[in-house]
Amino acid sequence: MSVVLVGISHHQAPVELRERAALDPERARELARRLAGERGEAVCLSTCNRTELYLAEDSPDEAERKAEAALLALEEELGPSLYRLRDEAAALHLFRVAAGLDSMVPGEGEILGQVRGAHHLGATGPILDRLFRDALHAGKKARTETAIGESPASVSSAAAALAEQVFGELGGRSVLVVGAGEAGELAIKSLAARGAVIAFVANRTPERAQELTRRYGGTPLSLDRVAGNLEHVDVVLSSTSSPDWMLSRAEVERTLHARRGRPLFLIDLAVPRDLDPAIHELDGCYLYDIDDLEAVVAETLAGRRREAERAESIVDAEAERFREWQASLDVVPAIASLRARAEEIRTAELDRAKLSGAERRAAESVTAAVLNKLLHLPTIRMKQAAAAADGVIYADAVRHLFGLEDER
Amino acid sequence: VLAAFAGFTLAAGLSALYLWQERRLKRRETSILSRRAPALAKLDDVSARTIAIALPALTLGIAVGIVRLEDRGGDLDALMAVTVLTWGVYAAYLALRRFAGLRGRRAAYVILAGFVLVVVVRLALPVTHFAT
Repeated sequence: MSVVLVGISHHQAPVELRERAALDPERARELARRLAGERGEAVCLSTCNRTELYLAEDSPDEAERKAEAALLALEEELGPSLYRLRDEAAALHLFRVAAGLDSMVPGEGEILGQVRGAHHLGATGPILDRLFRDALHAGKKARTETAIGESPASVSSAAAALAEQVFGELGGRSVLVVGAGEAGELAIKSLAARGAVIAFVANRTPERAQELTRRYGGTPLSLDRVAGNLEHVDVVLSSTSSPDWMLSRAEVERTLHARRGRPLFLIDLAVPRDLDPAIHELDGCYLYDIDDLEAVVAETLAGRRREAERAESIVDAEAERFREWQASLDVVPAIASLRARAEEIRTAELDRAKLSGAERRAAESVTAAVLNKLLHLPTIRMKQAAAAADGVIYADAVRHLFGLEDER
Repeated sequence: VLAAFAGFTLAAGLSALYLWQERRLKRRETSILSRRAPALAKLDDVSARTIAIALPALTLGIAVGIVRLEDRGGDLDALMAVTVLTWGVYAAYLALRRFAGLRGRRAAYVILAGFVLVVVVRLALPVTHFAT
């Protein structure tokens, strides 16, 4: 049995091609069933960054042809961007994918769930089942033993993580949103996901403000009431398209006394900027604009890349373990037939001896012990040889020495 | 008194960490998320609590000290005066925090100022009380 992988990913194929080869769960399940056929195994891994088909079959060439045909049936132009990998290389690839090492943002967390989903939908047998379980294990291990997935990788999650550096847990902290654009909404999401309460949404058009408050809670406000409500909130998130300051230093300064020393964290995602940069000079006020946030993200991404190198070695080790397991499969039939042959001889000889009940039982246990002791070492040695890649030679030698050829 | 001093030392350490973290936030250092420190609010809160626990211990220590001094018929010495001053700094800190919203950077400076006095008392203690 060999493992075959044929696929496309964001490395070679642009999104126009990938979107045409993307499979929803139902189609992924169907394709896996069809590719697996009677005796094979197949899994379709389809995400927005990749569509990959994993097959396990006796004839790798034929499996590869089948998988290619299936992908080309989805989109003819895929041809030049397809990659094909086998056995160890295919396993290593899947392990790297699961660990987020092949993702656009190294270490992103979504892919692990997608690999698990593909495994469930796949038509798996002993090989792909083991492969995908090992991949999930490798992916988790890479994440727990390195910091690859820890730091925020986007401006909106960095903004929320910075707010946490000021306030600790964001649970119960209130947010004033100024401007209800799309960039702002991503940041609202990551703040709300950490437990922050959206208290007010101020916007030029009240309809859009109401729409956001329906989804995330809070009270809609008109823009001229922003400064008046400053004293009640902990975080200000601004992303309007206005060319003027939404808040000046003087407006914020006036509320400082009423805040009684509570810190204020201000996020300015707008270009041109909404918040007077001089606010940052006030005691207890921390203002981050889009450039500041992007600088923080760039630094954390660099950190992720450093961690990625450590994760690579973890994944390598896991792929090596899978290779050893797969190789040991080569010698398993030889070991099984050797043991079956020995057992056959033992029972035949015991039958010929015509022993009484008690004698027969004693002889049975003695002969069984002799066989086990005799066959123990060859079994271990064959598995070791398989791991070291000359298992086939040993398996053939055993078949020849013990006359097991006809039973293949 | 020893327990109180231990508390003040801890609070001073937390305040120093506060000032460092606050400065990183103000300077918008890009390493702020890759090398994380405890959140400002948490540092502020924990150091205030530490002092709220340590201050009564110091109050008790001073009371015992004064009683002993009177037993011996001695006067209030310089060391005692500094200790009482230390007590005053921390008591003022707690009062200001409670009633005037003294938080953050300034609060951290007050705690560090109190700690300077604590160090003075600690260094002077063996010289005046045990060596003689």
